Amino acid sequence: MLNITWLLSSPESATLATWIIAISLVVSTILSVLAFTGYAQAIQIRFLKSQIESRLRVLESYVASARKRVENFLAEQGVKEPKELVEPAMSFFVVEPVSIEPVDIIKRMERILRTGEEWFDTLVEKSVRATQALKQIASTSLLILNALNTIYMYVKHLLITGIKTRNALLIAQLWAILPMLMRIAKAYYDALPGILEGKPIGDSLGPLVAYRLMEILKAVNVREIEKDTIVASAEYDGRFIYIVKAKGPGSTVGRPGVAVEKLAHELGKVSMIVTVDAALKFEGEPTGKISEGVGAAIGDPGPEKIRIERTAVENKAPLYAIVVKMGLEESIQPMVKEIADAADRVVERILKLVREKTSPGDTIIIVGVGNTIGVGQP
Amino acid sequence: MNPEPLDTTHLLIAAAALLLLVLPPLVALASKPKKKEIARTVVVVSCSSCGYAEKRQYSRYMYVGMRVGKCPKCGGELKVKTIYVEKLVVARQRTKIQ
Repeated sequence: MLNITWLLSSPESATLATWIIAISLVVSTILSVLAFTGYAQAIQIRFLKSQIESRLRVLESYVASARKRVENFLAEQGVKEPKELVEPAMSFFVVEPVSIEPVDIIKRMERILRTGEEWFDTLVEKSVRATQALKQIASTSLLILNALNTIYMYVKHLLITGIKTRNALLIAQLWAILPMLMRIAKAYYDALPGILEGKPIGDSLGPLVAYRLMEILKAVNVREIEKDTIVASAEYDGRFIYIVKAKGPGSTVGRPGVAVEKLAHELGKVSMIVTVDAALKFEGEPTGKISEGVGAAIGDPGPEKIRIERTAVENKAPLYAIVVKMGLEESIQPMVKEIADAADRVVERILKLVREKTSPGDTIIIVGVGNTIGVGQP
Repeated sequence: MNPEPLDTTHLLIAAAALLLLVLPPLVALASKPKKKEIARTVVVVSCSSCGYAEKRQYSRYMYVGMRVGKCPKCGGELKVKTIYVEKLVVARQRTKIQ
């Protein structure tokens, strides 16, 4: 059996311990000198840079692979030179309206957003020979490609700027936010195949609920009240129900705000407005959880939402919101079972709300907000 | 009688051998087993007349509300009711140490 005490007191072990202490002292002195003189930053930049570069290669592969998929899709739809559509779409940008002057900001924002929509529609319209639904899918796939390319270019820009200016703090900040950016990029990349096949996505929850309501209430007079937006009318327990959704099964969100505004003017008086939409869940919340609230549940930057709010104000109508919770990935990727099952429960909640909060003879507008890809109408 | 003391070389070799033996299993334990998932698209078609419903295989550009034939039960109209994705866990395997 080893005699530890004797072992540690031997001349050889004392020499080893001394060497270890001496080397530790030298290394810590060198590191302190490097930290004071800035060389430590260069070492840190090099270390973080290699990690960021490996992520950048992943982003680059996402862009290349997504581009190939979109070009193949466009070629299938009869586009002779897909590159002529893809290249301008990838570098498309939107300049935000001036916000320090808020007076007519909604109108300016609406004009800019509409111009952007028209830009993509025109780009697709002149080359794609297919149904309206497939043209809309082509537009959405170009938008996804644009988003992926923007994330890639942004990360590349920050990395190169940090290296050129030897700014370790900038590179460290980029390294810190990179997992979040990668998550968003992967979500878009994984969403693309489903979009190209025309499958309903998580965000199609609102239109799906609207469709179910139209089926259950046997809604009639389905008409296009506004561009890419339809309305149908029904009767339920003595109330007059008007159900609004985007016109499917193409990839569009329609103009629900304009539709509600027009409809309210046609009807004269509205007693209640209910909006149904998908909402991002908190981490830890289950997918498919239904929450009720107030306000306009619509994720647009302002023009559509404000129209719904103003309509509610003009009619002194309560504005209720029902949302189904889901993650970012689930909202843009093909609809999962939990969300599909939630649609029926949302319909029950809406009918309960109508029975409890309104009286026979009242007029109610129900809006299924969201992208109607993969969801048609009766 | 005391045993001969170990010299420095033997001590260093012993420490390195211990590390090589202990580290890999610790790293393997720390790594989470990787789930292998496959996604399957399910289409539920139903008859609005009699409520008959069945599951079908998805084909490109199918959409909710699409007419897909006659109801085998009552001859009414069969329409697509829901389209969703089912995620199935196929296998669990540990990640390789790289």
